Amino acid sequence: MSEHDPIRLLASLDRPVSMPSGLAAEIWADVEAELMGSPSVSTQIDRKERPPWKGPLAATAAALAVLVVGLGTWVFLAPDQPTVASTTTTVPTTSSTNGLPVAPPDVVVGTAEDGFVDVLAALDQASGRWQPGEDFRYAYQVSVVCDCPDAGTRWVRIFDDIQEADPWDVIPIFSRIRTDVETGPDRVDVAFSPDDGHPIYYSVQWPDGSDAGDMVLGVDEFHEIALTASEFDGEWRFTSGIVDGNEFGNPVSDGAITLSINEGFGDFPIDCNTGSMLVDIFDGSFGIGPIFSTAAGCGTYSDEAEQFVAAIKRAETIRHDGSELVLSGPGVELRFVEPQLPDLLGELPLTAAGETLLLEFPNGRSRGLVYTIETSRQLGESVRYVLTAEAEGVDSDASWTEWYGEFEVPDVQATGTGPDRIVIPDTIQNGDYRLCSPYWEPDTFCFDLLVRPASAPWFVTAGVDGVILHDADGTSSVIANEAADIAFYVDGLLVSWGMQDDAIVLRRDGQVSEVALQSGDILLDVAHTDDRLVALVTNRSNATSAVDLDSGERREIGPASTEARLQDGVALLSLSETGLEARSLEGGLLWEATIDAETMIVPSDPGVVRLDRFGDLYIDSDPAFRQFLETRLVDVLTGEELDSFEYELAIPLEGDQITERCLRAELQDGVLLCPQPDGRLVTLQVEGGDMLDFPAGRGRIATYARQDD
Amino acid sequence: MSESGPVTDGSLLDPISFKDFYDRALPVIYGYFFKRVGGSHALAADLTQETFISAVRTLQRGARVDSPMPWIVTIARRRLVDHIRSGSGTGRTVVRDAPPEDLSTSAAEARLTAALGMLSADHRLALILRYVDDLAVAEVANHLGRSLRATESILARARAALSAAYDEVADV
Repeated sequence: MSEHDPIRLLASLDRPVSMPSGLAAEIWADVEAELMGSPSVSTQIDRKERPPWKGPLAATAAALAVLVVGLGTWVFLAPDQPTVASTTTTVPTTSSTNGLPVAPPDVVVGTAEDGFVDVLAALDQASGRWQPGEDFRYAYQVSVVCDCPDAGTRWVRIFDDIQEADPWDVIPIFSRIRTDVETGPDRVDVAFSPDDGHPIYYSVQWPDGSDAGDMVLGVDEFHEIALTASEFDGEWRFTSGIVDGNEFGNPVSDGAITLSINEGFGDFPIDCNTGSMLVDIFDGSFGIGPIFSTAAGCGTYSDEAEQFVAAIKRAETIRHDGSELVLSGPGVELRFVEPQLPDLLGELPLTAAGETLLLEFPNGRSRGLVYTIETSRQLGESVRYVLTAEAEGVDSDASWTEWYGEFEVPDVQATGTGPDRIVIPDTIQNGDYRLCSPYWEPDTFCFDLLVRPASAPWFVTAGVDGVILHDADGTSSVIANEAADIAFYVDGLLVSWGMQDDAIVLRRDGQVSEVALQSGDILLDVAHTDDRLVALVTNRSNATSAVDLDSGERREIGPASTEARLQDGVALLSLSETGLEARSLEGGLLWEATIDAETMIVPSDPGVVRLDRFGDLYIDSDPAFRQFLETRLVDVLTGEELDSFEYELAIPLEGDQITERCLRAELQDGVLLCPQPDGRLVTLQVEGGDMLDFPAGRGRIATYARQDD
Repeated sequence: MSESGPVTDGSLLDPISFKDFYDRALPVIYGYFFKRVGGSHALAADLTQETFISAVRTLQRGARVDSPMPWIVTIARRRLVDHIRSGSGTGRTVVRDAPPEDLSTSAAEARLTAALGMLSADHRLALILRYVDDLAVAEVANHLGRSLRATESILARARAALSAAYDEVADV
């Protein structure tokens, strides 16, 4: 083993280490106590803080005797049941030593023997989607059922003893939930977002001292949006803000901020990411829960976005000021206006991924040839596309690219009635969209666009269809009752894996078929080839296999790969970041290339380098590869400078995309000659690295000169 | 009890059986953490304890365990990921306290452990999952909550950062 190669040395770390016997025994004592069910610190906490049981409320409580929650059943223990009384402890009514509200009224929460509910376990049961240790990005929802003797407004607080270590370390995680309580059972949605794999016990209390009656904490089926609508729901474009006397504006050039509020849920862009949070609005008060953000690496970061995040966390009130929306709090103020939506010209005919649409403009309206496809705002990222239309008399081809974040695309004006021709992206998911031409102001407009499954039985895999099948315990075996359905899209068609009658099945377009996947399989790609739906899988048998999903035939075609793609009937395998192989689905090696430690791609057939999706992957994500692409043409293959060099590019790149598809390009004197399938020769004025090194960062398309010969 | 043989819920929940399993798994889990948290003995011990308690609670909730050792290593990995991602493990300072007396490490290992401790949380986690735990890049991406593309990028930068830190440690 080389002592000079830390990467190789890393493998040596994986060996047992003896623990001092005294410490081992000490840890075992705690583990054994847990094993034997001895009271842990957390249960002691619960006993100290558990609200008192009070009153003969059995009659009304009986209505809540059973609360069915998702896949599980929660049994509410009526107050006259001795088992409950025996586990209830009276809390002092006049003082609090731990900062908790004084004298919570009568509350019984859940059915755990100490009166508390393991909400996460319930979520696990109810939704089947949460697993211990899983990272949470979105809020989950529980429901509180209150059987209250009188009507009125009450506030609910949820406390989370996160670490189970400090009896007084009780943290309100979302403490401003309000409900108008009517007599009798009532429900209020309480949203929270656990962020740790520990079993966490939540208690719900009525801190206002009222006689709230009995309450059960249960868990509904999985929801991602909670709370209720308010008069402030909608989209609000941020215009200006003040933080501690410092004014800042909307970082339009680096990612305009639009705050979306929808039934208690809010989101806004943070540079190229999306921040999501729960929004609590009541009677002019404003508050937000933790902000959960996507974690993409952004090409640029703006101070304004950072200030906006800081400010919105401190906002406490919400109000209208004329046409403006104003959030304010100590030292902060944020102002918003309603965004002006472009004209809606109408609804396009029902379409599918990959289809061509013709846009007609009866009034000869002038327009640009660049369009965007935008999704309605939702949790997570909004996938969008940038399209270029083909119009008569204008030098432009219909094309599209996926887009995240800001972009710059050269546009030209078109007039006349059209039709302009656009192609719906292959990878678009079915759903409702808006096709807009927002970049030719003031004549901006949109069409409603409805994308539905294609009728053609041809699938083109998108870059988002990789799934990993593993069970909750990480043993890489799929267990029927733990396997949640995993959905992905193939050519806009929703496809999902799931369990049915103890078999792994594939559901697509209303069909259910059993597939020959095995425990531990990692599904790498699915595509149609020669009218067969084929999956590429790898697993711990150190092989990559092609599985015919219709016949169930499984064939090993090459070594295990960390990534693999099906492309034009060929399996492209990436091997431990050190090489690429193209293999036929029968297993034969077609060609290979290696990537050495300096991240250089060295072809097995000098003179021809195939950069396909793997090449894109590296080139797009690592500046070193961009540099390499530039120098490779000069240095690597022959060691001397070349004026021309033949290589193959299989574009498109994902994200940063050149829309041309060069089947076999040649670089001559700084000009990339790019033959097209139809025989045309497109020339691209490029400098070394320009094609992939976009000046404004990821997601921005660089302006380039182009000329058709 | 066979390490790889199936174990029923009941047998593993039995204190005697679990103690047997504990004795076999303890050095594995402790070793797992010790080398991955920058050589901190105390932190490794804490995470080890949390792992076993979490395992017990999972069993008590009725989880079925077919392969106990991979199962508890998976729990340990999640604890490690949680620990690093929670920010507790984001420091770039080499944290090493007195190792157990019987812990013998080569100079190269000690140097590597120290270098790992100097990396950012994302870089350290990515390298550990990829090269120590030998996970596929797709699985690493899953743990990191990143795309494959972003994970490849992180791994590339992490390798460079580790090499630099490794050299830096040698210079000290």
